[in-house]
Amino acid sequence: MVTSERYHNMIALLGKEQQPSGDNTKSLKLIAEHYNLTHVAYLGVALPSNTADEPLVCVTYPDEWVQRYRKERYVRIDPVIHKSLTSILPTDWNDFPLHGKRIQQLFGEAREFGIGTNGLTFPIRGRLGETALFSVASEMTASDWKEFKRTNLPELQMIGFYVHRMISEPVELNETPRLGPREIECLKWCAAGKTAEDIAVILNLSTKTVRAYLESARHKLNGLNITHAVVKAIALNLIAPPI
Amino acid sequence: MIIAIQGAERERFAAEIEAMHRIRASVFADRLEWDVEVVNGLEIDVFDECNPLYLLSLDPWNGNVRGALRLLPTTGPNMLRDVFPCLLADGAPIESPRIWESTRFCVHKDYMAERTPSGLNVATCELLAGIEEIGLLAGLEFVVSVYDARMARILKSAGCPADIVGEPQRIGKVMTYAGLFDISESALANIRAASGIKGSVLGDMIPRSLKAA
Repeated sequence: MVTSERYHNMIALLGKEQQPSGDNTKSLKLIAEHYNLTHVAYLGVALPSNTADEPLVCVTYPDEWVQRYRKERYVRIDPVIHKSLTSILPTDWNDFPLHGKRIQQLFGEAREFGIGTNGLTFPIRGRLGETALFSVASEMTASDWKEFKRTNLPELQMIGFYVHRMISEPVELNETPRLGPREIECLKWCAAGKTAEDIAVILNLSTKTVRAYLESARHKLNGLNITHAVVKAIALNLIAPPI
Repeated sequence: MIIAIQGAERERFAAEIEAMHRIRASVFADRLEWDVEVVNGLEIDVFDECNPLYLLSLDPWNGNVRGALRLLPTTGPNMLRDVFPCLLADGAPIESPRIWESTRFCVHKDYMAERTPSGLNVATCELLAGIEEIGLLAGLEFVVSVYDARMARILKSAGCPADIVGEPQRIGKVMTYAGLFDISESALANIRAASGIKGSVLGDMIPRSLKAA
């Protein structure tokens, strides 16, 4: 798949940032900067790693807003959260009719705290059925926002899951990911510099199938792109380094 | 017209959802003789509890459900991983936030004969176009699906050929495949060209701002 230059720049920086003791909020800020967003937020709800009653929260929002949100118990009425937790489609914040005083108050105050005039929330579903939300907010004009969504949805889907793994599975790759034999073969040829088309000929598969195996391998290794995934696969001894 | 129903909208469309479970019972239990559980004429399984996204094709004249399917992300619980791993190479699941799974594709028997001018089933074409449109607005790259030999022929004639991943198996009476569909503007254009569908099939269920994306 084709990814943007800013995506690649961001990956390089995120890689540096994501050390075992890395600061997750700093990583979210990096994402916000690269995509010209006002804020980025992560909310992990039913996570096996989180035994506390409170959901796991990591946001770039100002502390005053986080405190206000907690104090007012907005999580109970926030329509974006309620809808997104049972959805799989991304939700645009502008699609919520501002019914009721409390919801109007919530959206009004969010604006006052500079959260952004528009936002998008991606639901995340994990292996064991855990759910999380990844949100991005901006101050873009309506037309810029529309264009932003059109061009960045696929990248944001991948970034959302990357953030989910980064925050909910802090000990990265504790467990070696379970790659299928085809996924490993495709990665191996990728490491040797072959394109999806080349690999399709070598393995007698369709290009589409090779692309799907590579995308699945990328995800399982929590790589932000195929090159990133190949590097991780080599580090884990799943494939041999290219000669 | 296609309506997309997510977890939170399920109550609002309780009648349509029930109609879908009824069609599923007649297709998967009665006709295909799959080993599925039917209670009170409704076929419901554990994946219906996972807040999937349903696409329903509605008859524009009376609102009846013509056909339906169910979408789930492959990153969470899904049928291919949990029920049909035998269809995949070495049972290794395909998993990515940009690959969703489509299951329980069904058309009501009363609507089997409803054809596009090109001779294809109307509900089938609408549902396929619906998958493409929804996939595009979710930023997907592929949809994987489990289907039988008959469905494979229909898909091909609807301009929507799938690439088989893994090993086909005999399940119940039929050969069953795991297939891979491209989500792209060109795939959507192919389905529209083959079926004569013009413009979006998504009804008002999809919020304006997302549809424009």
